[in-house]
Amino acid sequence: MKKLLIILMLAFMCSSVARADDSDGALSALKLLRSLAEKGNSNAQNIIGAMYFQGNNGVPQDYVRAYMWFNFAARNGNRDGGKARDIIASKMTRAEIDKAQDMVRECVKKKYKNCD
Amino acid sequence: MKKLLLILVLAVMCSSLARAGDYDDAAKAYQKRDYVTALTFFFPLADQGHATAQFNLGVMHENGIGVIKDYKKSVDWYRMAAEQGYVKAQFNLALMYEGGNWVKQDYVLAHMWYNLAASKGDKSGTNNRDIVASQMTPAQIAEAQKMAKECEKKNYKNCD
Repeated sequence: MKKLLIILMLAFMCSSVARADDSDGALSALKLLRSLAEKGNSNAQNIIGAMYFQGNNGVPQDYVRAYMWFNFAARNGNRDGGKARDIIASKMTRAEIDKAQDMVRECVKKKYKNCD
Repeated sequence: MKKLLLILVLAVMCSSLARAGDYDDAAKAYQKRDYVTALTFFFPLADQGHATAQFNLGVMHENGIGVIKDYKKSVDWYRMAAEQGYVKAQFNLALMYEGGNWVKQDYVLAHMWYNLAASKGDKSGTNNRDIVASQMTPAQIAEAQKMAKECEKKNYKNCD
């Protein structure tokens, strides 16, 4: 849980590049993060996961997408990502997890490009 | 009820920041409690698709300010503004669905609208989304999140 908090804080710090209530700014931050995440940067992948998990910063809360991005970070050897993914999984239905895992496979095939 | 009052106050405060022209006149009249004048400006603006005017009409109908209380109309105005991405209307519409007083109670739809408001940085939206989520099953939350995603894609149109 501590790790998740740290990740959430990171996401907040990151989004404070844009103002917290400036969702357009947060959306462009997301764009920037995405380009990093597509290159396999696991920290960026964690931050995107946290943005989807919090859902108050440019994107609505979406456990499936949060799971997907944390999973990528985990696959890239990031332990925080793995922990966060497992915490989110505990809030998800079996069907949702299956869907998230399908999306992970699809996204890997596409080399992280246009995964949403 | 407190929240609604807060929103009402916000709406009045906010309206003083709005753009010049008819809306400004309406807002000024509203602040002076000259509701007849406010309404004569708000109605045509709202019909032209002015989201803030629509939202204000929602508040006025919900609370019976200058008009006879009419929750159905209030929900309709909120929905029109919410479909244009107006955050405070999305939040109020969610309140309606959560309370189930004037529409059929529906936590999934409440979660969806709160979540969409939250995504734009609305703190009350985030807060209420998480409260309503604590009373929902994982399957309901999954459904609500899926609907929010789809609603965002449809540009908030015809989501409920």
